[in-house]
Amino acid sequence: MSGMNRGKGFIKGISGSMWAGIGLIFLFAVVIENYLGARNVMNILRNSSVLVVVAAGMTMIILLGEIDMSVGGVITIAATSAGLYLQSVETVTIGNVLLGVLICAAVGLAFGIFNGYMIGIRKFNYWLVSFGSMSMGFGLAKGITNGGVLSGFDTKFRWISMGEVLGLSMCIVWALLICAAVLFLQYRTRFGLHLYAIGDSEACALNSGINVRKTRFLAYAFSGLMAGLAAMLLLARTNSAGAAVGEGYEFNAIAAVVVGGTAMDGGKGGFKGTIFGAVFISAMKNGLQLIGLSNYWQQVLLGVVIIAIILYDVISTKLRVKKSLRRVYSDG
Amino acid sequence: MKKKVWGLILAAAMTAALMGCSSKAPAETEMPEAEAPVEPTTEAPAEAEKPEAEAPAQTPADTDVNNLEGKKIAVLLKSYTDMFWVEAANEAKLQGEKYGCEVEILAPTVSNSNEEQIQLIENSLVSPPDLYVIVPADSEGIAPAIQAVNDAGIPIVNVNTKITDESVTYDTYVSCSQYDLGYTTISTAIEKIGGEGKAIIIFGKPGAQTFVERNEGAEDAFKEHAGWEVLANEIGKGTRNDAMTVMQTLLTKYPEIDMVYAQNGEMALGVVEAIKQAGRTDEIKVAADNCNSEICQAIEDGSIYMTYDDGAWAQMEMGFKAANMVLGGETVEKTYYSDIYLVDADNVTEYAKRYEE
Amino acid sequence: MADRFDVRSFLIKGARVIVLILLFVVFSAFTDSFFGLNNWTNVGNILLQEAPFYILLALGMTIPMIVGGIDLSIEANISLSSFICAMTIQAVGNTGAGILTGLAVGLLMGFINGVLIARTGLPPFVATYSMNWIGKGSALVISKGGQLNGFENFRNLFNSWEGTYLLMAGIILVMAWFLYTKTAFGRETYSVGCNAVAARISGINSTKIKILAYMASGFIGAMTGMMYVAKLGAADPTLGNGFTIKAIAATLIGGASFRGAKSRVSNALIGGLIVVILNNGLIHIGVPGVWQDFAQGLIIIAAVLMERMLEKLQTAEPKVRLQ
Repeated sequence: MSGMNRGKGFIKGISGSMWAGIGLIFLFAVVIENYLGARNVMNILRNSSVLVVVAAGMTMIILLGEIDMSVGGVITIAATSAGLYLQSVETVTIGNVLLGVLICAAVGLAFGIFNGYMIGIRKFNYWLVSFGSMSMGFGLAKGITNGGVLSGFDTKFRWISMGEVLGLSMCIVWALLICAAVLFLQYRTRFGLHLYAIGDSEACALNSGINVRKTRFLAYAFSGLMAGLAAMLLLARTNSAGAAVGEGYEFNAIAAVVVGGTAMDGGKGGFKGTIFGAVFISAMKNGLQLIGLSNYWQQVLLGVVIIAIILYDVISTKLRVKKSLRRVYSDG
Repeated sequence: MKKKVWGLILAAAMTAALMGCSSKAPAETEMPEAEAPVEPTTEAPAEAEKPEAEAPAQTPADTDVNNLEGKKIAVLLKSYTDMFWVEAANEAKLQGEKYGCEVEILAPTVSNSNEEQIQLIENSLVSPPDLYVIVPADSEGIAPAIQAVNDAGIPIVNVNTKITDESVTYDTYVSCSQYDLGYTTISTAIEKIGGEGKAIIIFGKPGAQTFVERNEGAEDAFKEHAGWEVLANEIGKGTRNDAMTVMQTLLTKYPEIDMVYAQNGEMALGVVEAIKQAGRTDEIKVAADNCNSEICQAIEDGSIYMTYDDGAWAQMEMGFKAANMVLGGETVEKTYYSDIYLVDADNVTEYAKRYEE
Repeated sequence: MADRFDVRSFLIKGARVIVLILLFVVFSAFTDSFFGLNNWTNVGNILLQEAPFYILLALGMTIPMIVGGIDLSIEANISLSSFICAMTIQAVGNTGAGILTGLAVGLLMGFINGVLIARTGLPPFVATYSMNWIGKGSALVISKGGQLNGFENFRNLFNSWEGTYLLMAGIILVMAWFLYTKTAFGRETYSVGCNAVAARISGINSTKIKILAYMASGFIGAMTGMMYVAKLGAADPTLGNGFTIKAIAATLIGGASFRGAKSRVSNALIGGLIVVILNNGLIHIGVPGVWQDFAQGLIIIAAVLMERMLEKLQTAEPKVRLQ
């Protein structure tokens, strides 16, 4: 259960940047009226809901020390396929809605399985394969819509994201449910722990009897499935699909994961941090907009803030290491 | 021809109106606010005089009343990096100064991102403006955000791309149909060039409604002219660079091209660079949409044949006029039409003045 | 000639070259306009107008990859440095000053990236992702979203001879190749990419080497940006948008790897050429614009599969493979 300890230790590890992040959020709260009001908090959570779902899959892949470049493309093709289906139906029933959801999930899973088979089982280069999948995802969506946009779906389908339960927007509910499931998967199952082991050292993992191929296959399939579910949320939330809906999600998802403290070379970090990362990025964008900055300055400051947060983390870790070393030497 | 003249007159009239307004502005700002809501009914019938031409040329009435003073107007655009929308943003700010109101520009970081537009509106509702001027990236996709604005009871002036979802409402719509723009551009170009030829379409960004509609319009126009063949419909991503690269390749592929339709000004300028380089300027006529000073210059030196300008300034100006009426509680038409203006070698020197400042 | 010429190992080492040649042959065979013995215009177009840019983009990505990093700020760098270059030319009226300022901006961006990554230990992805936002935003702030055009002297410098772009790309490529394969500095760079700790212990200043790698990337980005301005005739604060993904595509297709020290300068050359030929050939062969991305994806996957087949040929005799 060393992975689990590492997972717990990690929470302590990123608390530095988390505190810095929370500090910044409070700064916004002082400057902006209603920033922490119910409505705005809801906005922040709603805006991070799609990202957190995509980033959940990405976290698994990054824990392995790899990257899934295909998520943006997979979101696009999944949303577009379901969109095409929903538009072909005249009167949408609950059954159609379920089928729409199923299509999103199935397309995502299919791409995930393809990636998993190629990368995990056949051991192809993950960059190339996921990049190929990305091109195919975007390309297929472009092709089947003939470059057009699909928009305007039935309110029954849109309820998936726009409905409200207990005052919570449905897409937040979905994100919470998925987060809970992923947290369980990540920290309480063998699969989740194997990810850490493989990311740390594939050779060690192999020698200690972990089925590396299977784990890697499952991770990619899972990432595909998450992209499919994100596509569902996005489709229902934005009421539109087309060749560009998933654009940029791969980088944004990676950013959320890394801001959350997961290391790019694998084995360190976890999904808890990612949730923080996604919400933090959304809170920053929201705050920078509400402060009344022009779109251009918002972009500059977003970069500055992310660097500052990570920098704080890195420097505080360094200081801690230095301090503990000093203790070792002075004691010895 | 008639349309062109009409367009010019309108353009001149608008420029004059703009000048007039801006010189009047200081006087207006001194006016006490209490006076504002007196006049609406007297001014409204003015617009009845206008529809003399065959075109439905409803425009919001000119009025001296300023209902926007001290108000906060949020303007949602499709992009803040595309030249056309940068100009729209600048015009909106200018209008803000004119009316003495605070203008907040909301624009997605990724051009034409419907998702970001929805987020922007939802975020802005935390400290709500008095009125929204909304240019949706997608007619139906924007519905969730419009729903939220409806729920908050804030008036909406819809500009450029129509909000078509029936479950939501807006107060008035300043129309500039992108389908018509594409259709008119090609029909006029064909009329001017002649009966037959080979054409290439440089498509903007797949998944962006502006370009999708212009493309549909253009393709329909081509279909109506049996003599014209569309050789290729390639993607220029709305940027000068991509359009130029694609055009360079197409120039080596097709020895005979009569017309290129570039769906926006940026792409047209890229296409022109490629054609210049291949030395085929005389053979190939470039038809474009949108206009700015650089395009005017290209028309002057003959490298762009013609363009239809849908005037970001005109749309914003009209949008603010409509906003003024909405906030004054006047009855507004459901739709106002913002014209599109043909710019070609004949009128470019005159037209370029609009873009000189 | 101690070694017998080994067809198999040649096939594997040259897999990417074979893909390149295959693509070229297929496109030539199936179209009249792509290439014919009497028709060099398109090939000229590819070599003189398209390839130099892609090769430089790929190279700018490859060099940080050698030290185990990545540079996502390429697009910001291209936008910012080219815009500042254009601004300087308009303000000062001196082309040379403009070019120098542009290059200085590129080097500065690279330097900041390098310091953030090598000195303070930020993950390369975060550092360059954030710098990308900062750079893109700054370009927009400076320009207020507008464009600049009309710098005849500057454009003539590049466009008066049509081989200029190729020549510049060639010079930079050869310089990079020489620097990273033939010099002690190059070997040090590869050892830093391989194992930074080991390199440091053996006396290599890995911080300096990493910073230099990012500065090289910044320099190449700035150069590419200015070449684009010369080609297009306008400086646009969003010029670079979407270039990062293009650069990554070209680099990976060329066979580079994000695991440090596995990439070579030649990867950039081959990858850039493959992408350009693919984009160009798909138009010539008449694939509709909307299907081209899909075709590109298929070809990437097919190339991956082909490479594996070639590898199978090699390892036909059983070998003990150590994990």
